[in-house]
Amino acid sequence: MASLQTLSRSFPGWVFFCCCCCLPLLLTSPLPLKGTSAAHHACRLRKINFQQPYIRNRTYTLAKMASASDKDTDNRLIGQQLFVNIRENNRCYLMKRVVEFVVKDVLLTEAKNQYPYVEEVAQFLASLTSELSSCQLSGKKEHIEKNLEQMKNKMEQLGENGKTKAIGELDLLFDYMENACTDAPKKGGSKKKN
Amino acid sequence: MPKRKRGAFQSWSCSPKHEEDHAFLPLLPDASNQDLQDSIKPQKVEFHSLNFNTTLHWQPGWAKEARDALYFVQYKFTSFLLFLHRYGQSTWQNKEECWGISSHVCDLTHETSDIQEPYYSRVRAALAGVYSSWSLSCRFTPWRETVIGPPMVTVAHSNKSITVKLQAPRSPYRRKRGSTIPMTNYYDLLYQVFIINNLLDEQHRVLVYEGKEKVIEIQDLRPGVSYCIVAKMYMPMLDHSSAYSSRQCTVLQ
Repeated sequence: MASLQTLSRSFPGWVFFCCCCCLPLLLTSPLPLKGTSAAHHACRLRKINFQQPYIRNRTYTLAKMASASDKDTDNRLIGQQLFVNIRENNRCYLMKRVVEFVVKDVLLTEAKNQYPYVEEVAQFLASLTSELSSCQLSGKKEHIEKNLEQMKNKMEQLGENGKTKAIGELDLLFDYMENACTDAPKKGGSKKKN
Repeated sequence: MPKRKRGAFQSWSCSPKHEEDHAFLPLLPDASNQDLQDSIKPQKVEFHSLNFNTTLHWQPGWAKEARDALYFVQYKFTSFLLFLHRYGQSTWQNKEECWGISSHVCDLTHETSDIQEPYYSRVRAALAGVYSSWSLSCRFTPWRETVIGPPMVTVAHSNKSITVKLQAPRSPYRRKRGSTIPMTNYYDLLYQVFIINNLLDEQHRVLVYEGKEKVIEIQDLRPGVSYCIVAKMYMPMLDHSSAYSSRQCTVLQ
């Protein structure tokens, strides 16, 4: 009791204590402090989504089949060019848009009948985008729309082979989505470590 | 889920390609040249990759003379940002060390070091001044397609237990200080350790440990009995296992 009285009497000391100890804590806190982080959280997928060997293997197998009949080595749909001028916190949103496009305009078309596993993979990808339903863009949308447009245009330019290429790159799509939307990217990252 | 063949390199083969259909090459002067071109054209061009050590393999053409052919290898890196500053454009690059070689293998470890990016390679043959058309590989992405090798295992024993030390396989890539980077830096991998009681059945492996620890102790073993230890790497992400390590055997005193 005596000590409490001593402490309560030294109120300025308390203020000093709080400023010294709590402020640095607040500043270094990993907890979200800004409004934009709400969008960031909506743009996160749980790692477990990507840890199911069954669907990962199916996606890779489907991609392998399609890419075996794609002889065009010059063009690429899913690649780093999608991220040109896109900030890190918008990459998951961008990948969500890419996946939505691939599901609707590639997988759920006549491709369903050409390759096995298409519907399963489409369903899986659609479940990811629905989990990201409240993931919104933060900031300007012009670069995102431009990069998306470029990808869609390229696919159209490739004609018949455009869809084959998109299916052949489902493995890349899977990995890019995982890297952009989960918190702990694969060890080793996307590059070699040397 | 089909299990991968033990100890084998993983290889993908693309379906036969007819992209360079010779019906569209009517300008060639004589038919025998055309026959020779076809008959020496490399077959089954495939990437083989173990712990990111990547080689291109192919088979000679069907002609008897094809064994005297020389081979020329090119590769292509298709990543946008990297090729802009590194290569200038996405074109086929000659692999200098595999330019005019007689063997059927070409090491492309260095050329495929951006492990999550896709690569292509192609090979053509030359004989007596005649060049075949190019044979194209499948698209190859090291991170997805390399095969993880088994761990290194060493064992020590006391009278009732065996201590197993495990070492993950290593990639060819180096840290700044020079040591090579283990494969566990690139994937979530688990060690699986199996014990074989030679008294009971030399073929029967019992899983005694699965996890990330590098040193484990197997306790409550019987003195005087010969045991062998084997281990493999397991990748939960793809439900893939490496081949088994070699057996390390010991008799408990």
